[in-house]
Amino acid sequence: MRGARTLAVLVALAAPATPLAAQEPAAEPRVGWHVVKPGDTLEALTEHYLGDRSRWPEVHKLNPDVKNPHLLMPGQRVRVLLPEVRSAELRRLERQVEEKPHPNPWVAAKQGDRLKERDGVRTFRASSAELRFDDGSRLLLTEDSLIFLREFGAVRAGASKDALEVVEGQADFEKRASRDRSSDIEIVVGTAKARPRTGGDASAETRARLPKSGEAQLMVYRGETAVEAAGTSVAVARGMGTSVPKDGPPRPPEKLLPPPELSFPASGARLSYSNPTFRFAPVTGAAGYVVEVCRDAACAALVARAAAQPGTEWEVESLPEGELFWRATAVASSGLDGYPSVASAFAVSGGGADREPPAVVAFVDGPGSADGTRVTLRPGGALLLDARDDSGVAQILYRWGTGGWTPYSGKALLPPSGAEALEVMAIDGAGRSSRALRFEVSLSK
Amino acid sequence: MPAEARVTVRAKGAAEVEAALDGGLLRPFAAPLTLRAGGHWLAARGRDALGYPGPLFWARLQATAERPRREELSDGTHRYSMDVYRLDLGEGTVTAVSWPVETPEPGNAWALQERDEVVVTAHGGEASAVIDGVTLGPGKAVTVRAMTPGRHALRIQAGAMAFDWALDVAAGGK
Repeated sequence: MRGARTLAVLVALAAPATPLAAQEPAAEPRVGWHVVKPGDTLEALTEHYLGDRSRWPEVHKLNPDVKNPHLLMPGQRVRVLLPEVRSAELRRLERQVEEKPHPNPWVAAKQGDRLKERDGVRTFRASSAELRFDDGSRLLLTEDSLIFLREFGAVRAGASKDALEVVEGQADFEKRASRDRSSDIEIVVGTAKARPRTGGDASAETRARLPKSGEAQLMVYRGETAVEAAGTSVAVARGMGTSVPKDGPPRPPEKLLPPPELSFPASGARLSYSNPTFRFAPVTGAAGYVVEVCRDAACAALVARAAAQPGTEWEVESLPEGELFWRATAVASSGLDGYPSVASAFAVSGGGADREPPAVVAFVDGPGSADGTRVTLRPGGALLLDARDDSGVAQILYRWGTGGWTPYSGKALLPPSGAEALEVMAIDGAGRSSRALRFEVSLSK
Repeated sequence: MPAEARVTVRAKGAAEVEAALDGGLLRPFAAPLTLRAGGHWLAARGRDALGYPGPLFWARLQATAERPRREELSDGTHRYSMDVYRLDLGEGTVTAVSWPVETPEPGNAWALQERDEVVVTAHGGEASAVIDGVTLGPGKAVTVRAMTPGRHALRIQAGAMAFDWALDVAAGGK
């Protein structure tokens, strides 16, 4: 029976033997021929080729001429099921993404393309790609990143062992326990090897990053991940992360920072301009922030990204029209990302970029006159303020003399004393302030 | 390519107009303002003969490089782009007109070549061009072209507001 391993197998294409989940990329079952040796049975051949003895009835159906599956004639040719050729599907591609179908050169990636073992995919600036595996797991590749499917092994006994390498940039791996198949994936990043495992909620989410420094970073958002380097293995639990020096073992895991609280644009906001300034609350312990704008809540389709933002504001150059999402992530001084905030939806509709501060005016209501920067109010006269801006006026402020700035309520202004300096300014919807205008205001009889 | 423009403001029934370009103190509007390329906010209102002000009016003005105010066409003639901004406020109407910096202010003589053209674009309403008593428009965009040599009268009209030029058209345009 064991001699059957040396027999040549002729491979032929055939329809899938079993239906696969509609949501997942279908692997490609194959059918081949086997020349029977003494002692072969369909059950033994199924175990040999698929590693799963229980599927022999499927093989029997492929061979209607075989009346007794336990009695095969030496020299007889029977059809057998071969291990599936596995592939991962490129699901969502944003802007510039390329794939490398081994051994061919890099070409522009197309949605629906399938990557096999030794294939690669890379993203460029403000680009992203989603790779969906046949067990429902997925890999989100952010901008300026490069990965290879190092091993993408055959499915045997409903299980597979895979390995992918993050050569550059950042990849988010999300795994959900599959009823049909389990895959044991190994993520190679720098000198580290990481193996995500599902947790209590039957899911795992690990971010693997290889910055230009060459020090691998791994952050575990769900499940747990075993990280191995330089002969040392470290268990990184949910909510923890570790970095791995180029020539050393993983550092002790540290707690990931919480997500920043988003403030502007608010959830559901509709903007009439294309360059909002994103704002969020600071996170204690953060050395910087990452802000991402995406077409989807999971941020599988990247639109714009700002890494290493020192502050809690980021003005994007220009966004496309449509429904968008944004989120922010605090980055610790160790370089590890915290939890991204839950993505907040907003929309950009019409209008170009607003790069100008608001225009704010002061004018005399009733008797009075304006001359240069001097305003004279006669009895019954007062000053009114107004402002305009492409992104809308958030606030008009004024102050008399050196007093504090006061939000303008729309009421007529009179100098508290007979003559006073008035300063006015406005802030637009994008957070941009006008310069302060200064007038000398006096009352006359 | 020049993208500057000049703008003047008039208010129906007003003895005087107060205005501020890109913010500031509203003050009596005297000479035409010069707009640099880009967007501008114009605030204006009229005052009647007794000094009572009308409502404040805001207009977004665009002086864009994409739409030159004065453009030389391939046949050697010129196209002049003018904009009319108009807002009815119930109590009155404020109208602003912008025109190329190379051309004179309303009321003065404007030297043109034969077959030059003037394109008037209306923002917030419609505008008409009246050339020698013949009305073109009203519409969102009106083009005056194929002018013959000699003196012509051009009036740009938006509602009750009118802006007049004398056109001295010289022969020689191709």
